[in-house]
Amino acid sequence: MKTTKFDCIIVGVGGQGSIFASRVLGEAAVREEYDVISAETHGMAQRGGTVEVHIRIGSSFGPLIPLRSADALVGIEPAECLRFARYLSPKGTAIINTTPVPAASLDYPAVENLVKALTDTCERVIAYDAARLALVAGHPQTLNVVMLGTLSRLLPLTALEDVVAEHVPKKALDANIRGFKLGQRIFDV
Amino acid sequence: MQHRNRKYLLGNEAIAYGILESGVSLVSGYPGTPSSEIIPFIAQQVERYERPPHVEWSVNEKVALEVAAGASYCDVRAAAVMKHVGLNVAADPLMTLAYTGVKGGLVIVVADDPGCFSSQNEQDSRRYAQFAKIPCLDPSTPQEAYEFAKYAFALSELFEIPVMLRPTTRVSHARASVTLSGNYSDQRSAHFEKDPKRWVMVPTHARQRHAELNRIQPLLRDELASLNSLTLKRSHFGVVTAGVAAKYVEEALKKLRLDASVLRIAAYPINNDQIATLLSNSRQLLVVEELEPVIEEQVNAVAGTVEVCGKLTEHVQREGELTVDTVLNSIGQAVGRFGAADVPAVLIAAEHTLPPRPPVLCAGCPHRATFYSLKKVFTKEAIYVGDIGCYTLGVGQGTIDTTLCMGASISMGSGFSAACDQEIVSVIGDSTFIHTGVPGLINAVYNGARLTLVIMDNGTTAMTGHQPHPCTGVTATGTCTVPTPMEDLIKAIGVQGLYVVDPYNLFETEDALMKAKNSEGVQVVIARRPCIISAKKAGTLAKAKKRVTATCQNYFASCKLCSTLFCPAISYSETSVLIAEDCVGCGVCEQICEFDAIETA
Repeated sequence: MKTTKFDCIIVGVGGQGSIFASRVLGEAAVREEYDVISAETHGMAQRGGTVEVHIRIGSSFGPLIPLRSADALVGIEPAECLRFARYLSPKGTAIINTTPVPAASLDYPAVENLVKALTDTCERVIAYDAARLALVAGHPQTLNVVMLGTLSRLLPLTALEDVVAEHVPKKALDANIRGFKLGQRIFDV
Repeated sequence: MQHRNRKYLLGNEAIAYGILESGVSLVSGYPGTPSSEIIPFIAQQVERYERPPHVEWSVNEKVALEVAAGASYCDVRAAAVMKHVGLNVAADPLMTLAYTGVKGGLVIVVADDPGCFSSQNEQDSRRYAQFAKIPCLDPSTPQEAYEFAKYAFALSELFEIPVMLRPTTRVSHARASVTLSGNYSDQRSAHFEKDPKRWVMVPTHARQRHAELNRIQPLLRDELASLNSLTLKRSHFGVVTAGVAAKYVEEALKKLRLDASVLRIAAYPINNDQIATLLSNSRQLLVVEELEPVIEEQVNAVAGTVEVCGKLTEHVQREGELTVDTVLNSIGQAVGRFGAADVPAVLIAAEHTLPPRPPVLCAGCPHRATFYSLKKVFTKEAIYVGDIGCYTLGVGQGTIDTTLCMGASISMGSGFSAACDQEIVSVIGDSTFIHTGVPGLINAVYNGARLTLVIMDNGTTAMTGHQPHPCTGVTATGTCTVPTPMEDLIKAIGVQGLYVVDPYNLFETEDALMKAKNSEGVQVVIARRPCIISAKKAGTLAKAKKRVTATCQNYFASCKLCSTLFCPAISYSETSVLIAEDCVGCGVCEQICEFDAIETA
């Protein structure tokens, strides 16, 4: 069993595919002989509520990541990203999509302020309009896969793209692979 | 190469594999978070079998346990699956099943929910195991949950006693790499041996069986001690822990670089020998367990002069779920060290600016429409007696005043109607009505209650993930069966008035509710419309979305009548109503708009 450890938190709102992203990540890690454990927390609502996933690669501990210790935080929705920023290590990387999903209350904080709070409290922040990249890739629902592409650059995994390809619907395969690669390239910009 | 039998599984799927590999002949249960995925996962697998096990969603947990007991009496293996509060419903058979004991292994899977993520309370099922004097296995990971499921059948047969497997949310809903043995036992052939002294619990037999139950208790403690693990260190500080909390303790001790002896309890009843060994090695013990201080009370009873810290000394929180951070704080408090990491002030400040995202009924949920009509007809003066299901979210519309337990809406409504003069509206879903609502309705009619019962019939058990129930005419394995005729059932009970309406049709619904309101006795209104999520999945949602016309701007400042719907697809700009992409075209807002400012897109 491989022993490199990587703790990651993926958050978003219902329907954005946070859970799909974590499952693909977990499958890829199992395939590459890591121990993996994750915890999916979603409230009573099927859609629109906060979805929080902790995923721990190479860990034999419980599924919940302690405060200030995650290696990466993927915020598919910017406000949700901040809601769980307390779990990110000061040495960790935040990957944040800058397109918000409005909540029932009209007061939504300025995304710049959210990014600033992240920048002040962790080593690296990768903030970009992943929703727009998903549109470029061919389908707004590839948003989670775009962000997975960005995350893949931090991970010790090599099979992630293959596992994505196996798990997305056939007719959406091209868009998802394009999205994954666009997400990967964010690092090069 | 990836090991063929290593899979990335939900804890509940791991338990399902454990049950299947044990050669189970029957699996029964009622859906409830966080246990709901076990039965569907087993049901998916059965078609691979030449002689598949019988898998069923039972009417309720009492029925499920009794169905499982019947199979077990015939010397075949059976499992009954439920959530913690479901065990309350099944408590009646449980307590005496411990006396009769079982033949074929009988495993009761009961998933606890520390933190009430999706439950009305956070009771501790280990107390039930203690109360019934049956063994309880307490896994800390999905891998262990799988292994314990298999062991539970063997243990059950060794002592001829039902065994509780008790995962918690962080085991059932953790997803982890799990190594499966891939060895499947064969189902046994059934044979019931008549033995009244064993199976007929008349008082003389019950007294003998109680003695037998007590006789095996020390044997059970000895047997189960091997599942626990004791690691002694040269330290005066020791920790006793169990379940997923044991994993948090492991991580916390490593983070703090603290040497401590650790006794991890994996099964109950607990043998005192291991506790005594730890006590003799320690000056201070910390007991870290979720929910009730079950272990702590036992440790306290034999602790002597050793200081025992835990929930009873406020070192460990009494309510809610534990995390690595709460455990860091508990250990920190006990040994005088810093605990969990501090959250920077800038993050706490940013968190305060975030919009809340409370759970809401889906856009187009038929329940929302029914609640709207209810509020209009019965006004806020009526008492809305609620039940367990998605419709609990009607609390936001002011049309749910109580939520207690499954089926309580009708029986509590009877109590309200006897005690006070206000209008009484009982609100229940179709699955919950069948679960435990029916006796309440019989009782209400029999005892002359005065209430309107609204059955929000969305044709599924929506809250827990869309499981079928008797009125749907489909079983857990997807086969067609005789559907329970809801209207005939209600009529046979003798209700004075019965109406069936489409909640999307506000006129029809309000008319029926008004008639019910103006009539005597028990009136029933069935508001029938498939759950919007089921309709989407089935592709039967053919309605066009709605849009707002320019007329809206003329009345916007003084209107916003549609805000009383609390629909997540409706929001407001400075000048107009906005309808979002998630609109499903239910048309309820169109019906309530007094200025015809909403139309089909």
